[in-house]
Amino acid sequence: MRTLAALMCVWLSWVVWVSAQGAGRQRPAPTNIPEKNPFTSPADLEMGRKLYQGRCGHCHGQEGEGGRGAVLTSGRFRHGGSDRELFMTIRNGIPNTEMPGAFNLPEMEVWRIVAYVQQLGRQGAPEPVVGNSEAGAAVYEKNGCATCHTINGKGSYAAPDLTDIGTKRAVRHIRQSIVDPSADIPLDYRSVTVVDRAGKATSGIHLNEDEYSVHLRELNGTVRSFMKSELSQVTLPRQSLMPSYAALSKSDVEDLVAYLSSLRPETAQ
Amino acid sequence: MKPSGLGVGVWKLGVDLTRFIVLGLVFSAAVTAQSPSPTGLPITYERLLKASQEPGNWLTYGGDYRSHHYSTLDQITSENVHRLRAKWIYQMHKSKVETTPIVVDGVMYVTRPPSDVIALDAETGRALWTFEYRLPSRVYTCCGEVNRGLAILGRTLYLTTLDARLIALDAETGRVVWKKELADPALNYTATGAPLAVKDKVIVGIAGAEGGIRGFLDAYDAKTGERAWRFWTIPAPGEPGSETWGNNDAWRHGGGSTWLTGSFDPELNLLYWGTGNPGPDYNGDVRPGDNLYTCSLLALDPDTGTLKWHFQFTPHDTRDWDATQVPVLFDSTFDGRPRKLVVVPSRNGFHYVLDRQTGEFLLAKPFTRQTWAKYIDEKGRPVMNPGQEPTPEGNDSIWPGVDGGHNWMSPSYNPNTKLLYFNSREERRRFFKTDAPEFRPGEAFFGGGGGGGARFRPEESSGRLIALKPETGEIQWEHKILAPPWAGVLSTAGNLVFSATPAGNFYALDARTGKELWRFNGGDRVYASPITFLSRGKQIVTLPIGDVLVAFGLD
Repeated sequence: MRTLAALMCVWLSWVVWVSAQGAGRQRPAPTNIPEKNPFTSPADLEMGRKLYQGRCGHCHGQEGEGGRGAVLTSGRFRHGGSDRELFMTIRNGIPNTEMPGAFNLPEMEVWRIVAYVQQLGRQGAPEPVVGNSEAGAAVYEKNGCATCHTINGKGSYAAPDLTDIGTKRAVRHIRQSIVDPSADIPLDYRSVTVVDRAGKATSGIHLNEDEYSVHLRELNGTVRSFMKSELSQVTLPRQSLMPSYAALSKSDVEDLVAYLSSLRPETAQ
Repeated sequence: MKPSGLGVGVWKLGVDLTRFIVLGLVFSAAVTAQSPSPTGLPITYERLLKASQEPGNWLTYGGDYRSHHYSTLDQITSENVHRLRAKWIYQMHKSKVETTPIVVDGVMYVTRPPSDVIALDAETGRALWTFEYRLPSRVYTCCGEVNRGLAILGRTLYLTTLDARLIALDAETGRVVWKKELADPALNYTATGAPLAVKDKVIVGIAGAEGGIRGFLDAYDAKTGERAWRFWTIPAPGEPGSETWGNNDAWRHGGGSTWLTGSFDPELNLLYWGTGNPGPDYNGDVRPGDNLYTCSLLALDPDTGTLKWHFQFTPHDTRDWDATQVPVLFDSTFDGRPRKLVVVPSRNGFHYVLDRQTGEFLLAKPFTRQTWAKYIDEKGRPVMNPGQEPTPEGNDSIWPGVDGGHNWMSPSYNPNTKLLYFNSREERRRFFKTDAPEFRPGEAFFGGGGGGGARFRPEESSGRLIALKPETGEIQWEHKILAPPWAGVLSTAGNLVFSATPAGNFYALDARTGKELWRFNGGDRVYASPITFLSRGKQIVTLPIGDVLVAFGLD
């Protein structure tokens, strides 16, 4: 009797264990993305243009001229320029960048965007730089940009790393960021100012926030956490923490733009 | 003293018998502890009619046929909720979890993406059985592989699957009783909602309006799975309402899905079910007219599927503002006269009050920022503002956004406070229009888009849990939330309102004042609604947070 009871207990445990194991199995993800774009007719391209302008143009420019997003007219794509690579980039996004994935978009529409982006890539060189990049490096040095920015590991991480900024940003966007830094602030570098009950204000880069707490990094690198119940005010100013360098001479600005535009993965050390 | 002779044999027999009985008792106790016997079955139609009188269980998607999402349980109160602690968690490892479980006498039946069912011991969170559904390799879905829950009738659970099947499962074992195809998934039909068991039938909605389906609502014989009736939400040429589609074939792919669970009034014998957007979503040029019965509330005879009345919230929608939101039924006085009411906080940003017997429009009041309608006229028809349509270059000026002022998350009606609680989404998005698409199996049927979140600063969007007088739409209090929420609301006789934020904060408020009394950081987005029930006599509250189901009880 004892043996029977023990056997039944073992059997029951096994049934429960097997049931529990079933809970974690994953369905295999579909693969088989073709190498060549199956949607490249003139009608597909036209549909791709409209989709691009609705979904992509805000960051990459309505004609692919770049902006917050990379220039697409040069035909150089950092994450691969084959049809399949572009498809994967558009559908899945790029981790650790502002490029989101178009998960909900049907494959056909992603392919049509790929077709249009490939056409953009044949448009030719992006906006040329007119300044001198060596002189620009001196402007960067002289104005203390490394106090906040980093290039090739030299400088501070209080502001965006510029090591490959020439790939990420269009020339006009770099210029705009120098003379009017508040025009377009990366989400990771928005500023926040909190004021405690005693009236003391603290500002820094906005790291995280929920209904009860807010977290920031001061310009000296110190990370601070605050409970909102202990604060009288939390504001997210539309102004960048970076001062405007509109007072620089036009040639200094263009030299600096040329220098920053030259910073690409191939120049990274 | 030991017996001898015959006595020894009798004594030994007695010892063996005692051992047998003791072992049997121990074994029974062990079995009981591991898998509580589902003595609460069967769940008859009579029990479903009185679901609110069984607060220890949670028997339908909306908590009862009126979809009050309210419980009379009052062990957890505004006085002691600060003692609420996590009791167990169940890891799903699949997202997004939008499910509302069914609970019967200590057993929780819960769905997991894409179309699985797990029976859990509600006391411990341990799995008793798992039904894992294998999907074909490709299924078209617009918005993630989700499932929102089950229906139960008798000893059977009813599940819809992402490939548009209705499956009956034995609640005690998870074994398949029968399986039916609702529609062809290759034609972009899919199913995500919890069915509703009414009398001897299972009412089932369909999804896929983003893929160019022609929507319907079905009823199936609960025992055999034979289809009892089908109501097409898009009329064919010559049928009433077909004149609202222009003279073309647009009706064939006209959308009007039924992807959320409706409500039922047994006295009026009326089923109330919301319908989704017309297709293509953002380009209405190919479907001139009001496009009945999209973006509507339908009142149907549950025995025959005959339409008794309908009310359209958003005629000729071009912003994907489905009207599938849960309709909430209650009786009250309106303009000094007792009325049977149905209220819907709509995705289009207005709170609607209708007479649920006749469908008469009584009131519409905005609960969130909206820009598209000047006002709603005396018949319930919106008078449009100009410039509120999707455009080829994109229109940033439309509030609310594509996800609406409210959506599928459950509202809660509390008969003690006589307030309706729901989460309001305050945001705008960019609506753009492309050429009208051709219908293609496996592909979307958008004709544009409604996203573009990257254009807007996060702090431009926010959320509020609103407590309003459902008869008048007057807001009594509100609880601010940092980002637009996707969580449903539970209210209880313990003077509590439970809900959660996109940041993963699960919280409890005083139902009368809105004062926050308790919170728990669950660490991930919430796309589901809390429920409550009893386990071994003690009140439990559960909520899926991210892909983890968490159960809470008093310490």
